Amino acid sequence: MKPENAAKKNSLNEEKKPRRIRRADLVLLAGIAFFAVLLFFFFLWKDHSITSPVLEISSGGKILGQYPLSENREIRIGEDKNYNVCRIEDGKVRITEADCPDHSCIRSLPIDGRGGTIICLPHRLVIRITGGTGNIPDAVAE
Amino acid sequence: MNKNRRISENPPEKTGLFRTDSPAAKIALLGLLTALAVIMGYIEHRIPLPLPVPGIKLGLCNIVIVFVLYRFGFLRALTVSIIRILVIGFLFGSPVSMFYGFFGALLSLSGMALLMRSGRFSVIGVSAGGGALHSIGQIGAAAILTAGTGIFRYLPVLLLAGEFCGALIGLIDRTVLKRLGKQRNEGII
Repeated sequence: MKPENAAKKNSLNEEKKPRRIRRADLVLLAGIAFFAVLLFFFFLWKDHSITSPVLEISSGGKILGQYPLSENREIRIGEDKNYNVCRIEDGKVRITEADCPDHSCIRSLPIDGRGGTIICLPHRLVIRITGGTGNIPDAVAE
Repeated sequence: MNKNRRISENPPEKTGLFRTDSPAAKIALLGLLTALAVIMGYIEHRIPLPLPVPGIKLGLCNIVIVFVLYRFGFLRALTVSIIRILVIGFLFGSPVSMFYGFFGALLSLSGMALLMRSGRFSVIGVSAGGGALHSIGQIGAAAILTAGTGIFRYLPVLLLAGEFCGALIGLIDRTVLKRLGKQRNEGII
């Protein structure tokens, strides 16, 4: 306990004069940015491996259905309350309507065969493009 | 117990307006800062950013949280943070948003405390690291709630946003600490 307290006091005293930006700061900033870019390219690479894209709708970890992208359609998820309306149009998928409080799912950029995810957190809804399975025919699994 | 000991170790300063190390002064000040953090959260709530990625916020209230972390230490910063999340959650949010808040705050505050204690980073680095960790915490909470890893796709963007906003907050806090640091010895803070 004692040494810890002493360390705390030390750091407090040191921080009386907040320092200018230091080299360690820059290293940390660059490190985080590098990690983020690396992750970004990892997901890009993962999307690249999608061969036969299908739209997968899941909620709370349970897959509700898979749909082909080739067919234009509107899918309503949920009941009167807590609903999202998802539209497939010309191979692009977006949420057009929802009654969630933040509507960030509607603002999300549309996703297409190249991959991507739309998420509605309040409704625990995940809409994403998958294609690893490959053997799902153009039929609808509802 | 810990609190009592720390107070007794530091003899009260009697200069200035009031004894800054008296428990009452500390409680009053921390209450004030908590209210300020709540107000910051409210302001932010009123100005939603129209971005295609959910969860990006400036994190104005973290100006207060980082300040408390530097002036009063980890535990009090955590307390202020938890009270803020509870108040904001009950006023404008939902249990879900509170869950995110707790997750993000716990992770980012622990990380910031460690970065601060290491003594190698300035406020800017500490705050930027905290911002990035906050993003990771929120994504983690979202992954638990949606029970899926699809959400991790947002991580790169959120990491960068968290880092950038955190650095900005750190920049502000550097000035705040510099100014209020002077006054601290005069007994106002």
